[in-house]
Amino acid sequence: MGSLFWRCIREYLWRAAHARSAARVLAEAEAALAAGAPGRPERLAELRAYPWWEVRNAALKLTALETGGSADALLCGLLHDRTDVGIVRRNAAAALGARPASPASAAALRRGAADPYWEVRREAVWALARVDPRSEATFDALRAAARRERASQVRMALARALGATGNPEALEPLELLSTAASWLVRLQSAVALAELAAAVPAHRERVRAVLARMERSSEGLTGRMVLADRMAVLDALLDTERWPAAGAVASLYFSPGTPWTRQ
Amino acid sequence: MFPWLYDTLFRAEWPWSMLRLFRYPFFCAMAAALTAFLLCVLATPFFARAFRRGGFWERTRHFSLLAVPAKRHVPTMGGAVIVGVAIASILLWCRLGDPQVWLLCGVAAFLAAVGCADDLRKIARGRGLSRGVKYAAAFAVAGAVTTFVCVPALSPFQNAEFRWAFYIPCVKEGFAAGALLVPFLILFLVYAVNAVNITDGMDGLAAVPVIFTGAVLGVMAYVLAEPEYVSYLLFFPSRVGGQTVYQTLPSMNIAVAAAALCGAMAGFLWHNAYPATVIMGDTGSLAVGGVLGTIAVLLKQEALFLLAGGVFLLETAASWAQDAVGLGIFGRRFFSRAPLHDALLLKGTGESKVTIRLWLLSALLAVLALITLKVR
Repeated sequence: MGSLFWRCIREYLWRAAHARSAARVLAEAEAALAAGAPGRPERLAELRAYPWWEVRNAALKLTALETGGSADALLCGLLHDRTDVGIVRRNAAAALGARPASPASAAALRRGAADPYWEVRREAVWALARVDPRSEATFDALRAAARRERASQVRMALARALGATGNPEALEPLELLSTAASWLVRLQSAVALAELAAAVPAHRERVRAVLARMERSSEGLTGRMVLADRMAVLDALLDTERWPAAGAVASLYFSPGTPWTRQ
Repeated sequence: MFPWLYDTLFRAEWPWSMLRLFRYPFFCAMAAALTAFLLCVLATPFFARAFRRGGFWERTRHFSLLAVPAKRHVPTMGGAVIVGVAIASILLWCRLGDPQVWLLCGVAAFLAAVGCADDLRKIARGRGLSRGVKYAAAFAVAGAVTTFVCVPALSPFQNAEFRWAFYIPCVKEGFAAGALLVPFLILFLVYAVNAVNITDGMDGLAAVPVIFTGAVLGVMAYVLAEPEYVSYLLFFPSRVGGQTVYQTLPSMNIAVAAAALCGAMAGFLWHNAYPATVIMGDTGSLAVGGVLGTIAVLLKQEALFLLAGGVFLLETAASWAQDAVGLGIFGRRFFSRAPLHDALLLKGTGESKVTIRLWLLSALLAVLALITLKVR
């Protein structure tokens, strides 16, 4: 932590002293990104080691454009490089979630779900819901995270990911998340519970009871409005005999705001 | 205008003795607040309807995570009504021979025009004016106000020593800031212009802190213009011929202007309270911030403004910490979102609860600011 602090200060001062060249290199990386062409591997390696994090961030996005296991390995390495800034590591997690699944990336994301920086945890959890939702190892990592997590944005992502696992045991951590102080977390938990009930019919009655309790306890008009809106849809789904495909329920989730490639 | 009409037309033999009320600044201030309140309450729905018919709502206001269907299509640019009504009320109830009145009206009109251009651009293109253009406008206003205050021929502070001094609450003596006062005033005014703009992110959130801060500055303006109050509260002492004299300010018209601003904001809040039927947009927030900052500079109460408008300071500091320090230097976010009200909202606190808590904080800070009148 201390070394990262001093690295950031050093980089800031370096960038202030080399503002023009840093801007030129950043423009070069962003132009390559806009063209969708990562460029020469040597140049990309130079950009990844550049002493200004915005350039390294652009280089990471360029790396994510490449296919193959070497890019996966690089992104996994960036995700766990605690000497780099949070945004770069956060984007490494998001990039891994946007790529085809691999055992190495899933393992790296599971570790990322316990990272000290909340944005890395959030993206790692969102990414796990995409690349490896059904494995036992992922479920264990998500359940452990749901028990200790306090950041509401990460808890929202956890609810989404637990719903996507389709694991009958996800009911317990989701019930825990459905009592969160944040209505946004409760909302994501509600959708996740409905998704779980779609996958595990034996849970339907219990899920119905949890949803009814949540609707009464939602705080604030905005929360209540949105929650009531989504609850009406979920109630309609619960009342029908034919449960929709899990994907249809998942469409009720709020998705993260800005695409990672723009940050 | 009314005080001028009274001065010009009133004759002692006239039977309508109650017209003498126009002579009293306190009456004028209260009348200005009432006029602005009523005009704003009555005029806002017409403008809101016209703005809605014209499709004047922001396309980019609510980030997708918290987008609520009921909040779409709320017309923006309600600040045009606030500024228009406040200027009308100021012109009705202030003595128009005072250049400070024209300075306040000019600042409000200029910043409202810049905010209006920003809002219109957001409506048309989804993106407002660039940060550079908005900062240029804020620096232009700051430069003009600083020139007005610091150039002896224009300044309302005739005593040179007093002109270059900086005062903080609870301390009687001023600090001789010298030329450092110029960059400080410019930065302070740029902060003030942006602070209300940053705070104005939820229904009614900015209006109440503006009312409280405006009320505190209005009370200060009234007190600082009265020789009895100034000497009783020991404001601005200086030694003249071996004796301590207390400096009064020509600030009665500023008290009236502050009251007009508070009245206009309260009238606007009638419609802007959650769930809002109209929002002020940059048209209102830039202008209101600029006027409050200018009033603070004209009263030499910049530090008091920072205390009374602590909610603005908190919101701006959170935003600055996130953008300039967090993302600019350390490549990480300190808060889930900035400014502060967005972070609280994202944490799951209800919108009305966040708003009311920040209102209460603002009230508390206003009371603290008023306490400094006597704790010196």
